[in-house]
Amino acid sequence: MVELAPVDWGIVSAYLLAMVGLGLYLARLGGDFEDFFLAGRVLTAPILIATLVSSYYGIDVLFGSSQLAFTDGVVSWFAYARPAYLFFLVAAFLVAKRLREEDFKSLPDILGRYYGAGARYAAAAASFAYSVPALSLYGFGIMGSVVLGWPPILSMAVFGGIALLYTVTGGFRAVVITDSIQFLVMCLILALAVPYALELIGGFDRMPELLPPEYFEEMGDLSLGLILVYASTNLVVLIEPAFYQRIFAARSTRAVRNALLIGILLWGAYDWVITVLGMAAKTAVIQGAIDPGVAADQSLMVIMLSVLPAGVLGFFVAGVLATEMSTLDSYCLVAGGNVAYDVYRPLVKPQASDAELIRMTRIGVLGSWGVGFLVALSFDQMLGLWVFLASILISTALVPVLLGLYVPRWRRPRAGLLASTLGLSSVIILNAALVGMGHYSEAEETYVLSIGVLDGFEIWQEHVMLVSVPISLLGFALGLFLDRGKA
Amino acid sequence: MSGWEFFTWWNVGVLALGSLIVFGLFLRQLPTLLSPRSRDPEAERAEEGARTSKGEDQI
Repeated sequence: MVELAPVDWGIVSAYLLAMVGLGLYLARLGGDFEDFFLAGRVLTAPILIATLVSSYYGIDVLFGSSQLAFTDGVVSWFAYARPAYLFFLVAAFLVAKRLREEDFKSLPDILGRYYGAGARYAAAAASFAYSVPALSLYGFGIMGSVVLGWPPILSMAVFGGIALLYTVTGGFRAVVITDSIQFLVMCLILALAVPYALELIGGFDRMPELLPPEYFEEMGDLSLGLILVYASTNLVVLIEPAFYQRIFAARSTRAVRNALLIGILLWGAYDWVITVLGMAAKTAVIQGAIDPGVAADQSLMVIMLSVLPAGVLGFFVAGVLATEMSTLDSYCLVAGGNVAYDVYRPLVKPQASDAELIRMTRIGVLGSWGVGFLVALSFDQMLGLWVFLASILISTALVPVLLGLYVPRWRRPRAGLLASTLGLSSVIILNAALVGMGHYSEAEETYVLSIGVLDGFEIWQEHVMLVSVPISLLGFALGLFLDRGKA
Repeated sequence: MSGWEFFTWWNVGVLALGSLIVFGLFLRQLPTLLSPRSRDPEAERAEEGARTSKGEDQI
């Protein structure tokens, strides 16, 4: 832990109070369900850029990417971060326009309208699971314990609780306004950190001098197969429920496209700055400037705490909190919408008023936060959990959403139902088998199952999607066959 | 200055200036986001179509 100066505490406290104040102020504005869940569909490109960039990048990117840069170098940007930009481009030019041609409100709403209630509920379950903020709350716990010396559960409750408060009271309008402030804080503080970090190690040139040459190899020692496996996890961009919510909330298709194109520039810059900071931390370790025993996933935090002066350090802590709060609020609201709009309304009360839907959304937000809190307390392998939840969403929704969007004559009830339910059930069964029969590899940070009869061939948790997505596709084809001849 | 170093400062500039510009534009449009909504979706769609046909920049 570090001793924060009073000025730093003042900055962090001011930031937290501003978030609470905004939430309470925005709660007074009122409005109908579309106001609460989609901010009245008035988002313009700058607002979309801020909320997209800040929501999609949380502490997992901040510390995960810097960890990879610390251990492997620029491969962190070229092999892990860069493939996502390709999917953002696809989303900008192909997916966004189709999504806005109909009046959708959520990802499960698409499946519900194309294929019926069963597919809607399967997608709602997958979207809710994916949106549970376990990773964000876990990140608050780690951050509070490393920086402030607080017990993790206290940091989770305090920082996660503040994000919960303004999300529940202010809805999506509060989320996008706080996201925009958080976007500025997290981007500026990272940009500001680079000169401080380079000054600590004696300039940029120290890195190529002191780090092994492999640190500057774009693809490192990764095989093509592994690069493709990692890249495939970025498929989630194409069916990301928080992305979809922002696309539905946009004022125009053009605003979405511009936001994603400018967002790619900012995501790329953000990823590269984190990569350089991770490599600078490794250089500082070699120089003896920071503790040689530093854990790779805490290297960014440690170098920042070492170099930033009082005053700036407070902004850094606020920036890390902003990074995670902007992610937690967005996904909690998505999960709340799944409960209210995608389950409660069609299953329990089709004639539910806007006030009832808003109340149910708030209950859903609270529920997802509570589940996330319990999961964060119960699990350690958060990276594995994220891969599992992302593969659930991809396996359930990717095939029926994209085929439904682009091939109207394939919008047959059993095609959507079988694709979503078979994808969902297969990914759960396969992951359960992998965890039950395999082991957790500390080196690879994933569950691994070795097949002895195949000369030690290994199946990783990341490989599960390569089976479950084709199963979903087969289910879709089977459903088309069963529903053949129907209008 | 090496290519890596240039790329780093380029990205620092993009991140700092980009976020300031985006935030400035966000502040200009904040009143729209805060104003009470009294809208007709059909009318807004028609308005949007008219704007697009005129080539108006909607950033």
